[in-house]
Amino acid sequence: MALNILIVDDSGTVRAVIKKTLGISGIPINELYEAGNGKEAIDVLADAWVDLILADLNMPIMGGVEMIEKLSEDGILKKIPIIVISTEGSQTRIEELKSKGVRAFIRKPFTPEIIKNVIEDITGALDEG
Amino acid sequence: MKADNQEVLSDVFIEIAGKFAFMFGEKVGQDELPDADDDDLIRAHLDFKGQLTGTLDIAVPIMMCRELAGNVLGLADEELTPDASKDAIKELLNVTCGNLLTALAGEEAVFEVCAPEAAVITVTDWKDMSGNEDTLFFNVDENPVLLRLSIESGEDQ
Repeated sequence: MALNILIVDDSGTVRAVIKKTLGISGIPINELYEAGNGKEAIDVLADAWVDLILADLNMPIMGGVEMIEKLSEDGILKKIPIIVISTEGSQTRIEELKSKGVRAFIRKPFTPEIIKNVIEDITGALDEG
Repeated sequence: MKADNQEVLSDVFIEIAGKFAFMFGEKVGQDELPDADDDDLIRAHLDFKGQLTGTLDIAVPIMMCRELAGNVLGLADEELTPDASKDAIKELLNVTCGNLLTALAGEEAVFEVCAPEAAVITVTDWKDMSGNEDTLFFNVDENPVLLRLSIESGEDQ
């Protein structure tokens, strides 16, 4: 199944790296969307169906945690799996995010193999579900 | 800055420079630092708060930022956008800080890390930062790098 993926990060460099990494990883991609913060991401989601969200946490205007909380309030959007890609290292924060529905956490810096394995785990679970 | 914090900062930065930027870095003495007097210079800065509260700054030649961006993005210099260099040094600082705070405070500590900012600086600014007792010096692929961690609260006295 080719995926529509939304990349949410305030760094254009990081978004470019993730796009490149996704290309190297071999994950089948249909559409790639980008947003520079949580508010832009919600605007994208208003017009486009997305199968997977890759999101940073520390962003201006609307950060990742606030975005995740807003998505969890929408009956449809809350079903979109979210993988957080961040410098965050706190297990306390990671567990808090998972309790809000985040499916996986990838810490920066990451390798293509890590992204591929995590996405395959998530999308494999989606296919079975 | 406490000597053990300096060592942690140095180790984390060198590791991140390698893994994130594919650049080889080593901590050097100020007298061993490659010359920066003729370079255009940039400094990135961020604030963090939590169990430890403080700031992290990095200063490098702008040409190193272009090399950094090219390495990270896998692009030749002529393919880089004007914002890519500044973005790359901000992200290097961001990733260094996240890993540093975990190394200093442990995996249970929660931090708020503000978005980094970057701006061009003068040779005078570079010399001022070089003169700060908390500043560490690195040679990263023959580029001079200044790195300064300032902890304002939360550190054991």
